[in-house]
Amino acid sequence: MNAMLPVPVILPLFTGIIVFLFRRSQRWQERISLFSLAVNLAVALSLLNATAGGEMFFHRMGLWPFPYGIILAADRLTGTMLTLAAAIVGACVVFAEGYLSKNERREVFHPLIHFQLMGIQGAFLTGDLFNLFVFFEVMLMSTYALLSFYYNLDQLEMSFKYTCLNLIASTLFLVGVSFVYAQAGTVNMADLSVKIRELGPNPLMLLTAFVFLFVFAMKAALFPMHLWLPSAHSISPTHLGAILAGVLVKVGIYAIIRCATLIFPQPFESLQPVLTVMALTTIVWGALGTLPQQSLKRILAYSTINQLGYIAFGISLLSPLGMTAAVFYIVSHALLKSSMLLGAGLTQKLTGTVNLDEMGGMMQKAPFASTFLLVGFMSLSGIPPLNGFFSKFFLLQAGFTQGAYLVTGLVVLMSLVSLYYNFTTYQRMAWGTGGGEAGTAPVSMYASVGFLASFAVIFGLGVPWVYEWSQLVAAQITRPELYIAAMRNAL
Amino acid sequence: MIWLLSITIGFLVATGAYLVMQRRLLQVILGFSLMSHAANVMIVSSGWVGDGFTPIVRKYSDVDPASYVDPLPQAMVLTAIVISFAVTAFLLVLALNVYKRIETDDMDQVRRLKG
Repeated sequence: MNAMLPVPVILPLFTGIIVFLFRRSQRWQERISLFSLAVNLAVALSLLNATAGGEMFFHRMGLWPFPYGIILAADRLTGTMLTLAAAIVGACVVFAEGYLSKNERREVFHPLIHFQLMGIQGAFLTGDLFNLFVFFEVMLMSTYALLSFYYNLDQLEMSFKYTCLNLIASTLFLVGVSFVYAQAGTVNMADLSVKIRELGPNPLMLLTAFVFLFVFAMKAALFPMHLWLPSAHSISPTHLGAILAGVLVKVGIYAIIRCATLIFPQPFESLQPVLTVMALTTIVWGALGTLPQQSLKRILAYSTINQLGYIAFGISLLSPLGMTAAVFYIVSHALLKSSMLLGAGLTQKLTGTVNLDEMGGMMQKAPFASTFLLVGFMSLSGIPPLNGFFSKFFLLQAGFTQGAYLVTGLVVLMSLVSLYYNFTTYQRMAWGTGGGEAGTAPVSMYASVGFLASFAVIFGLGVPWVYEWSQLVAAQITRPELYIAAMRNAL
Repeated sequence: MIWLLSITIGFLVATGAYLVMQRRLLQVILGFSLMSHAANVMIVSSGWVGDGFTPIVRKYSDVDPASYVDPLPQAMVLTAIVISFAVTAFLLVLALNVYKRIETDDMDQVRRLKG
């Protein structure tokens, strides 16, 4: 299994190149791309299965001795995130096949999506802080290009803003790496964890941890750095919006979890109030931001910000219970929100609009798309048999158990706001009468939306298993000594 | 010598920050480019050893590793330079396309999106 670790990085890389060579033949491009995504999902699932027993896997790139070279590492969290990424990106590519019309720059779409997948999966696998930066840049570079996909003025402006914001974050990431290297003399995550513990608490290390929190909060769209997200969701092509909401922001969250549990556990205890305040403002801002919106995609974007706040709140509790709730939330939100954004894209394909005022009567015009969205909205607002209810329930349970009554109370209040906006949105969209007729969409689009939406029900009914798995993940990541010992033994 | 590096980093960040706050797209891009150079110099300086030798060693046994400059940050900074080069090139392409569409590179004329 150790030798399989580079596959999720190398496979998308070579597929991207091969697919680019096949750009003249659309049929072969599609076939190769989808086949590679299927293999990728199978590899991710086998990694998930292999890590289930608590074993960890390590692979030295270039066979350099332990703390110097780049190390790929896989534990339960990595396996979970890889499977999520493989499944969501796969569904989004299937969706895009139907969404893009014949001559819409397909020849660059497939290569870019594979390079993006390479960056995402590399970021989940790497055990090296500087290598994390490199994979972030691989991922972002293709995202910049995919964001300006149609080259219209809105997309150019949005892509420019997104690139500039992420350039600031990347520059600060490098500054953070130089702080870390000057103090600890290593960039290997496990080695860093040991060295930082030995150095003990000091102001410079606190500053370093804060720099990294800022950088990853930019990717995860937490409060002061969330401004890029609504435009990026609503203006980019739908399938990219779904990848953004489902996977890319989760990469930021994943990096925050790694920092808080493995690399900087002690400095993060001092930063806990900062993270809590960020999480709460994100929740409030996201919930209130939905109220004046007219576009279905923008409502979903603000709802994403709101939900990311909940996840960050779970992490900010810095306990196994909070981490369990956060992991559960990540898994259910990634699948749910990407299904909803694809559902919005399906509606756009059928009716040509995402403006709620122009919709109305979608339940009659497009029953399948509306049903998928209904499941999504019900889950988002926390109606019991669906997974959205349980993710909020476990979060509140963790908050109240740790005695954070005031903060958790605010979280309850904001979920009432989200209940309100979810229902008014769905009401405006689906009921009543609206003009116009719905067009048709390929079956593959329905299938990919239905595939992702079905997890809202599956995870809702199978909640004991998913919760048990989240507990296992949290039990492993909240004990960094396991990770360090496993890496020392393996290498 | 470390003070010279510190002054260089400070100067690069200050110039970059000034340029980023300008209205023209090209100046903004150059500003970001300068700031990423500052970060690169910072990484190089994190492996700094006063009066250190160039880290080229023929035989490891008869040298004192502490008297050499750390080579790892220099390897890392090469990667970082290439990445910032690529991102700058991409930003220039975006700016060029914006200019082609609206015949100006004034930031205030481009701004259409809100929130």
